[in-house]
Amino acid sequence: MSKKSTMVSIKYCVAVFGLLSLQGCFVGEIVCRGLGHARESMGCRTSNGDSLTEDEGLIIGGPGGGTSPKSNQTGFVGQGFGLVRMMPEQLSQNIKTLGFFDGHEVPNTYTGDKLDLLTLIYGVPLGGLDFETSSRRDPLTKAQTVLVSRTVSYSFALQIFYKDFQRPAGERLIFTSCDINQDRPFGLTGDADLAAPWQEHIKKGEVRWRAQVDDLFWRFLSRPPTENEIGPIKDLFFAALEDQKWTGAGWAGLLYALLASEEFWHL
Amino acid sequence: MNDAFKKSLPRRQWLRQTSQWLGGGLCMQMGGVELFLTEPNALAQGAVGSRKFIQIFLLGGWDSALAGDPVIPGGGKFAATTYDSRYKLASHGEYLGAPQQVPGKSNLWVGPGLTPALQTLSQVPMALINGIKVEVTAHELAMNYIYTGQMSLSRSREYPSLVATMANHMGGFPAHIVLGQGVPLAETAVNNPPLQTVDTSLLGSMLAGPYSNNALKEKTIDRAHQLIQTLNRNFEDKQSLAGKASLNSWKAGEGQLQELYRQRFDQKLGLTDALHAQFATGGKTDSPGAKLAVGALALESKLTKIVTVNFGGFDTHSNHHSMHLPLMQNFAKSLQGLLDYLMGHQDPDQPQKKLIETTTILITSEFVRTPQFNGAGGTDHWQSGSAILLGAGVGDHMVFGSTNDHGEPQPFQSQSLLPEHLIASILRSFGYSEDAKLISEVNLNGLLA
Repeated sequence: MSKKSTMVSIKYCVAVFGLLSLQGCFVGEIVCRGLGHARESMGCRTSNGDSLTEDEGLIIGGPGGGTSPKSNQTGFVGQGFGLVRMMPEQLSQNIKTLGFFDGHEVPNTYTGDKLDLLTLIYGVPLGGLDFETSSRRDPLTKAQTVLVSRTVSYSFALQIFYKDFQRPAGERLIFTSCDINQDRPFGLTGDADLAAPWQEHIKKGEVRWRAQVDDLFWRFLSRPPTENEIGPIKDLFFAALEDQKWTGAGWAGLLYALLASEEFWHL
Repeated sequence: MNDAFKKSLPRRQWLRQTSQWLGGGLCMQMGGVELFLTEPNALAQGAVGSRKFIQIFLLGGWDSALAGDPVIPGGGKFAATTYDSRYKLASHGEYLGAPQQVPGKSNLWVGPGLTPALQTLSQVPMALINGIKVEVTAHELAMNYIYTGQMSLSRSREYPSLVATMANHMGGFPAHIVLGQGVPLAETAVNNPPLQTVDTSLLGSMLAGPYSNNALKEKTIDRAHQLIQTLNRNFEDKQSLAGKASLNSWKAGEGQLQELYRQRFDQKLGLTDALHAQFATGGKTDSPGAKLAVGALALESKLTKIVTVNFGGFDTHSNHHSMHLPLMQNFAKSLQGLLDYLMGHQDPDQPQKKLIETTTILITSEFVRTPQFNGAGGTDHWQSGSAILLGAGVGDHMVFGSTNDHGEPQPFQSQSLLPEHLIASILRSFGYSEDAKLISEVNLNGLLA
């Protein structure tokens, strides 16, 4: 944030709230956001110095071509703020939307409410405490919550993968950009020793593989992957191929990683 | 599909925008607070003390005349004219059984529901608490009253159960294990929540995470975890100081998971055929026996020091005889398995002692049942409660309180015996006097050392 814009922001905060504190600046920034069109003229800036624009938060990138965002494009808007975990119902809804699952709410015959099935099964409200269990949310994540999040992530990753895998190739809903059984990244031990046509074949498949990876990142995290994430993803697929001789294990592992990431569980 | 995601504002972006627009200040504060408060729970091994506790709750309201309260002055309750004549004869014409004295404990009598565990009960310290005046006979209210020792007539005010209070002091992760439906947690849910599963098979697989499942092999899972670390690092790099602070406890939790996964609790909590037989599980993983078995394994494997096991079916408003007695007797077989196991295995914290010497067991229910049958051949809720205490620290041969031939609570030492007296006494025996004081000043002297 430039000195000038910082001063404007601080002055604004002081005028409105009478607060000469860092927190006041954050509050001022919230107000700026709330004012929409007026914010630019008020000198509001994001923490990294960029002006706020109408399509702020929409990360521009493209799947399929390996287009990587700039380093600051994957960040959240409002970088001056803390993060909150999603509420249980948000998580359930997200997972349900991602995996096209139904039935994650069950009616409570006593109260007429709908209970969140995830909470019902695992006991721990996944997004922290909700109104059912406490009057306030838990500001500190417990190891229990992370444990349950991993359990749910793994379970759902497998379910999502197998549900789509069992569909005929042309009717899949998630794995639409690649051949789920064949396409993979180039670079597995021995790939370099293959005949040129085979190498070419694998590299063509890698383009489709990458398109599918991009697609999954958009679905789960609303952004494409960064270049430094592609390496570990390839390593994951190589491990799956060496250990289990099947790219499907790599896809299931990738789904698990995306679902278990901090980014998926936080706003 | 990709285009659809990009053309409209993605759902996650909406949520982020809304969250930050409306609650950003609060979020920032939460992050700021976390800077100072983050102190991850240690694994349970770090918890203080070595005394252990198992609470067994029979949901629905048990028939204490079949269990720990079968006698009135002059003989067995079933012989009293106030008790339904069908107590004398079961539906199949079999005599329900007279109260039996626990061998070697002259003042302890149990009903036919506990007969299968009779010999084992004679080998452990045992005390009976009968005629507890519960006043409320609605399931949820009475359940909470017995669990917590505090009466709350409003759902908006929840008190922590006995186990939750104890776990809150002991700390550790997981603070306590609940096998069955949830227990009242109140504010302890924030700092020391339990691990809860309805089916015991879930607990082990949950604790071992993806390593408990063969769908992905270890090497693939390790790579997936490395990818998660990369994703998380990228995510954290984009956050401000407040944002990073918000993630501290999540990161601490992830760090603990690695140690947890390494311990492979799925193997330690697995039920072998021998355990299925010993605990009379019926081959099921959600049966009372299976829950008691996994509870014992959780203590022995140092996963936790506090276990709650609850199971239902005791609310027999119809066909009381054909349902309640078999339930009780099946439970008694499983209880026998539990006691035998605790007597035969060392305490991991004090190898010179058996688990039964360091574990206290409380068996109770929200209330008891009416002496008379209703029109459906069942029994209804009755304003009296009872409990059985077994194991470490229990005043052997002790009986507190009583009921009359109508099953009504009788004054104990000229005052009503209340749930708060029992709960406060247990808390005191575990050294939590301040918490006990908030519940009741009364102590049942001699009940627990």
